[in-house]
Amino acid sequence: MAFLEFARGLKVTLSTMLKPPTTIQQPEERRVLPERFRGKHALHRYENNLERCIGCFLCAGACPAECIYIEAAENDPNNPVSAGERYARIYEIDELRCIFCGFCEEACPTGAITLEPVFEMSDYERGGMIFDKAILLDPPRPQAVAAET
Amino acid sequence: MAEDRVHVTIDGAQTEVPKGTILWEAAKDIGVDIPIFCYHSKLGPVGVCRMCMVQVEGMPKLTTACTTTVTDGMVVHTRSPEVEKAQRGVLEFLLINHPLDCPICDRGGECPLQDQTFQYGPGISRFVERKRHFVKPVRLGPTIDLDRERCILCWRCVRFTSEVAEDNKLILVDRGSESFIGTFEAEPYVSNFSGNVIELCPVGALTSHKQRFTFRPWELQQHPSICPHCPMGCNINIDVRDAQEVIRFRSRTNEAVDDGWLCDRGRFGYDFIGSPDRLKTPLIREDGTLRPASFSAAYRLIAERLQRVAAEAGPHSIAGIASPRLSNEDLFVFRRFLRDSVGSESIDYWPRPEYSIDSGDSAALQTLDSALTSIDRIDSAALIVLIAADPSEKEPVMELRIRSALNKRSAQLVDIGIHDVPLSGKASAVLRFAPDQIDGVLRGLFLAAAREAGSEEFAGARELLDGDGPVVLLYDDSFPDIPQERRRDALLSLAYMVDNLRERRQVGVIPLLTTSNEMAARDFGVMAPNDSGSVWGEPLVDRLLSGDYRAALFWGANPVGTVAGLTEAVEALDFVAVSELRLSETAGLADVVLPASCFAEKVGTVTNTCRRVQVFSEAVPAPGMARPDWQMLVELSQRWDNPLSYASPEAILADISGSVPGYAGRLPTSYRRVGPLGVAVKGGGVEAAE
Ligand code: SF4
Ligand code: SF4
Ligand code: SF4
Ligand code: SF4
Ligand code: FES
Repeated sequence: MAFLEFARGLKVTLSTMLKPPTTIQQPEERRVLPERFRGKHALHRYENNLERCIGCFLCAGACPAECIYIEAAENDPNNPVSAGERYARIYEIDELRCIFCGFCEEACPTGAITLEPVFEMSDYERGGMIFDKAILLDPPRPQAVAAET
Repeated sequence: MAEDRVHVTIDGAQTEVPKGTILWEAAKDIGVDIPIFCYHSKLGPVGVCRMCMVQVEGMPKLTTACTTTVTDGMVVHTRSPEVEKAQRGVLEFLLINHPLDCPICDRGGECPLQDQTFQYGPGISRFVERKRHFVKPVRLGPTIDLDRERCILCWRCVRFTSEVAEDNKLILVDRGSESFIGTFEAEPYVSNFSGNVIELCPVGALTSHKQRFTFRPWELQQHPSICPHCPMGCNINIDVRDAQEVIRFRSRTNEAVDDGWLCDRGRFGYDFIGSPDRLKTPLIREDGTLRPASFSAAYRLIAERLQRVAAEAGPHSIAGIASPRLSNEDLFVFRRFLRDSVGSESIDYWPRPEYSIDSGDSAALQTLDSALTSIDRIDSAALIVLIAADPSEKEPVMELRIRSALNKRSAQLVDIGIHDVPLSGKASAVLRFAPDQIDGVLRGLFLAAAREAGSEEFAGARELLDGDGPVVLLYDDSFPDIPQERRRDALLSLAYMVDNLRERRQVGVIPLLTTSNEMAARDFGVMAPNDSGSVWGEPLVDRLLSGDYRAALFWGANPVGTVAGLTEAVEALDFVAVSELRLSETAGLADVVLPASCFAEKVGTVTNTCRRVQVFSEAVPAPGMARPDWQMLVELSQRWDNPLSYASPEAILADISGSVPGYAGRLPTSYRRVGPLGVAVKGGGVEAAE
């Protein structure tokens, strides 16, 4: 009886031995990610370089991992950060806690936040995995389109 | 069926209500929810928003539930297809000009317009034209921001300022679809009660300037509490973000106390809680400077030094001065610590009335105490009398209660005082006199000889006092405008007045005290005793000035900043220990400073101006090592031969309810049984009701 179990196990081993390996030599070799892969977050801008995020906390409210921290502030009308009255003065995501569910993207009324096909996020310290606006925000476009009125 | 009751059927359910009840209220009583925007139970109906449409059988058209009074046999449908169509239509109309900027609106998440659009609205809009635009936000005044685009013109704010606060500050400018909310001639909206319109506004048009963009309602935890800023004891909810930061105080309606309103001093007075200058550790003076230390080192030093002073000069040379903003539990333990552990009777609170009463006058105090009534008695009074009192300054929400009694129930007001106060304009009779004449005036109103010879000015007040119906007298027993040497006489003549009035009509008195828990400080004997051993002796602070003491404990009290010459007197003491929230002037002179937690960081009770005992709960953690005062006193007392042994604030409550006269037998022994709205102990409405 015991021998039969053993033979069955060995059969799996032997047959797998002959297949080509599934391991990829990351980072030399890159895997093609699925189109809707949910990885590192990005905060976007409008054509005129204003931030899309209005600091509305809806993503934070939707987030089941409670890993988004926001503090909102009032825009200076002469030098606005975002469109409208309010912007996110502080926007932080704890990527270690995030479960990459994408609810934040779904909740956002302005399309400010998306999950990008980037999974290479690591650090030597936990603190480094709390991504703030400096990391998340798209760089400004070199040629901003004038604001619509 | 009684004459004054009518039957009505709402959605198939029968109910019986008093005649004259508004249909919306009748429906609410039996749990039928009719959506509203402009109606509010505390404001008169106007019927401008049309959201509350219902179908009444026998009426050709739909009608508004907020302006219809029920009649006998009325049959009402609130969910018929016609009603639902009307509700969808009204919401579609209300939204045509609405900016729908919910994501950045401070009301979003607790907005009746949002909620009711989800529940009753059409889901789509057919409006494709251009919406009307305004500059936004407009700073209406120091406290309020107005977003005119969001306003649905329900008039609640306008009615609040014209009917409740009666300052007529907010108005509707222009007509029809052009109209908008503003102030007269665009003056700033400055009022003691401006914050109430934030809660009244059914949309995010009126929002708090101070709290703008600091929170979203769904992330706040609510903790029922009591406003700490005056002895009225208005009920509040403390809204906290991340279990850390106090974001706002909101009203928590208690009909017996605040009637649902808060004043701005209370509503916006929370900065001290999370302030960065709060003390986080005990401090001990070393080489002239205060340095952080451990609790055990601080307790050891306090015990050592006080015991040395007691051995040298007797325990009575140790003075204890508490702040009347401490909780009942703190004050009670302070008193027990001083008397039972330290063995000193030198106890007082500060700030307190700056005069004393000797044993011969205790009958007067008893008169006033036995006539103490509850705040809601103002509503049923026929006559309200102010005696050298300004409710608007001392207990602001009292002003609104008085205004409501005067407007709704045809009560009359007599204002007897030195100068005009905001309520004077509502008075039917005004009696003004020079500051040192108060006792002559109060007695003169009743003395036969003076009545005949009295001047014209007396006539009006006298006529009203001679009428019938219940009277409520409000007085300020610190008598700030009366010269110090006349204050005792003022109190005695006040009692004389109450005694005289009582012979003819029902009389209730309400003292307007200064600090939130002053009533308890007096009730628990945390006030200097007079020659007969009861409270109201000479203020201890005065005796500190004359050098009668060797050591002092200041528990939350900070007289050094306000009393001239006290700095030198405190510096001359052998030892000074202070418990404080921050490094006050008094704490700056201390040898040991203990860090106390404030009312939002602990559980406890306070007694309001009419002896209603109410519970506050823990909302945020105390900064650093700060602890409740009762706990520090219990820990400290372990170093004496007679230590105190309370394990929890509830154990202290049980002791209070078992031993303090007037509280005994009336105050429940657990916070749960005191309940969210508090209980009245002796005098707080109980006597009057019996
Ligand atoms: S992906 Fe999910 S878990 Fe991660 S931040 Fe967004 S909502 Fe939170
Ligand atoms: S990312 Fe989107 S949902 Fe989150 S705060 Fe910014 S605007 Fe709101
Ligand atoms: S500001 Fe608010 S309360 Fe005042 S009318 Fe407009 S919607 Fe009503
Ligand atoms: S009246 Fe007194 S208790 Fe009420 S809100 Fe104002 S300060 Fe607070
Ligand atoms: S609530 Fe009845 S018309 Fe506004």
